[in-house]
Amino acid sequence: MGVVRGIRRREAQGRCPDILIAERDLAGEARAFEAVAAAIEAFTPRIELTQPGTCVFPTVGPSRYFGGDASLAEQILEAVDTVLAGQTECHIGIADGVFAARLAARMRRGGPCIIAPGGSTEFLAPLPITTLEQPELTNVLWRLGLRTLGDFAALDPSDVLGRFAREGLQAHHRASGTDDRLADVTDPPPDMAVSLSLEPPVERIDQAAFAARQLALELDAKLQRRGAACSRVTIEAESEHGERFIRGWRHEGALSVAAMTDRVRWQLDGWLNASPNVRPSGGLSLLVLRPENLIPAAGRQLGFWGGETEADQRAGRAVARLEALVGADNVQVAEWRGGREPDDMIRLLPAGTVELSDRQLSIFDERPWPGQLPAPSPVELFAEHAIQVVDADGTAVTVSGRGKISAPPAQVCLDGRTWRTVVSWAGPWLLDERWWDQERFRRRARFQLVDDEGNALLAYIQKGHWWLAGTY
Amino acid sequence: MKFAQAGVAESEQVFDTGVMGVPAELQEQVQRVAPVVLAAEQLLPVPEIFHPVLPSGGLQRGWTTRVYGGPSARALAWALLSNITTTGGWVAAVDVPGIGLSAAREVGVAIERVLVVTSPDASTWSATIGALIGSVDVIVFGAPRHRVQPSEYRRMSSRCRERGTVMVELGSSGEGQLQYDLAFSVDPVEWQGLGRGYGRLQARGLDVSVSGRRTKGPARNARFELPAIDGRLRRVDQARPNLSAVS
Repeated sequence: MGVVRGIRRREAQGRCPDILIAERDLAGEARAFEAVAAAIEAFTPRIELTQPGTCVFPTVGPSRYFGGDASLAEQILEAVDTVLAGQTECHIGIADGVFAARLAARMRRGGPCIIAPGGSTEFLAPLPITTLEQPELTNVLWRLGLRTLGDFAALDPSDVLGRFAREGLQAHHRASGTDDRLADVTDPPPDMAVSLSLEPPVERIDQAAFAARQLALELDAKLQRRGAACSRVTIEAESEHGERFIRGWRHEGALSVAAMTDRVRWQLDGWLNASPNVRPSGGLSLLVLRPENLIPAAGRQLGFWGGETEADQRAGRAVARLEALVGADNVQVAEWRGGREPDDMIRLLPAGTVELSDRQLSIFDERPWPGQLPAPSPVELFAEHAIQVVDADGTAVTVSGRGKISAPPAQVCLDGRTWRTVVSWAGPWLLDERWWDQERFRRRARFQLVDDEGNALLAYIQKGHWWLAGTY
Repeated sequence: MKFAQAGVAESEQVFDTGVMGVPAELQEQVQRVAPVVLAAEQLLPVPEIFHPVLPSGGLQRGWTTRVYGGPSARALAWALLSNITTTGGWVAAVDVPGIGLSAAREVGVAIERVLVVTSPDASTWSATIGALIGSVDVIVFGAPRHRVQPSEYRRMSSRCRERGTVMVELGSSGEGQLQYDLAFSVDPVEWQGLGRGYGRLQARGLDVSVSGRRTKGPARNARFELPAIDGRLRRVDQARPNLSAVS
């Protein structure tokens, strides 16, 4: 038992009532992980980060030098533990392929988990099919009766390719432990790298990230012309005093523009906030993105039905321009989240952090929200807009703790000056949510009011005060 | 001399920017490389209920429009733009305070294709609009809080015509700062479903009057229910007896 990866928030709270829940902070993780990556870099220069917290590297060379896989793993473990200083622990797995090595590391068998060469297929075979972490594919495989990676790996690759196309074949490679180098990966010609010199040198991470986005767009366009995408990118950064910082990042599939931008941001975040002897002494003056492991770009064809369209690309470019103009937080896209109050239902996210073309599916996630006001919703929302609502005698309307209204509302004043007559009204509809959360709990009674000018309002009373939530 | 003057006047018409003295051969080049705008291809789709009130049965790309008349104007604007977002187009909302996107979603707007942009101050406002022209299909903007120079407005609308972006200004009164191709005046007439202490808001009746220099003739009037009592959007053809708010 205990809190583990993948459980729901409510469940985690059930298992550990004192739990402190934090939003995932990838930039923070990247910063913290930078020290670990630097420690491992002392052993081998060829490390590749997949995401903050995980890195992979080939062991053939270093193992020979450091006296075998076991000895290498022990030494790295020791070095990393020194850096981590007991805050968390490091797990090492060595296997034939990246996928198998990652699962081996997750085995958490005290020390490093080393799979003998050629033994990866055997090691993976008993693991459940869901470890592939491709829900769409594994759902189908599960229904076909394939319950373990071994079952899947036993299929003929050509059959898998015929039925599940490229994606399926890649999964098959992973399941059989032969994903160290995919068949259709090619090395790009040297001129594919894109670089950007920053004049004047930038010191702030958001400026650098903005430059990185431009660079990623450029690289993406360049790759696209060749009908390719890359699954690995090497990011080189140079400070104005000539210090260089190079890291390779790899991804299971193709790296999108947003993914590349994130990786540059993570890397620079780690570098600019590193310990003083590693940190660059000046601003950033050069950024280079070097694509590696080119793969055929499967999903980049302009969509006929759905997918990325030209309109999406134009919108994406506008977002990049606007971010420079008004700041990244002032350009937002909406995401449907669901909730009981109109301002809860939609969440606005900075547009630069999401893929603009790929977002339809999450929108249709409709779960019932008991206590939600039915459609139509207010067209204009207000935050912290105090109003007054009085009954026929001119005294403020109140709602008792049991939800009983003191008198029917007769007049409403929105701006502190003019009073309007309430023609029709309904309510109170009580809302009492998140009572377990000190800061976000809400206990209010909501009303709909229509005044004599035909304006329809959504108002609520909370702790004896009236507020305007929206107008219809 | 006379010719030169005519050329200048013409170039001003072409660019509408007031840039003087463009040589004739350059003008020719400009004519050749300027994007060709064919009117018939340039209609943005709108829901069928709005066809009778629009001069060509759709929103013409490049038009500047204005929707005004209280909060209900927003409901009309979103309903008008819903089909554009569902057919792959993008809408940007610039400086629309308290934007109620769940209401937009209910009238059929695909909210994942709406960019919500806030310009921090008056100095970046026109640059913000300028960056969106040609990049999105429709720009919805709240009436600017500052005074915008007429020349700036003219420049914006001529760029819109050239790049095929529709501007929709949301206003509260009839007085806009711009010359509009279309202006929708929205008058809320009735709410259905809400009683005195019971019921809930269900249907909104709106009187819409469309005028502007593109309507060819008198203003077109129609009554819409956005939404009607069954949740759909509907045009009410015959003048119906005015239902009281208590239904």
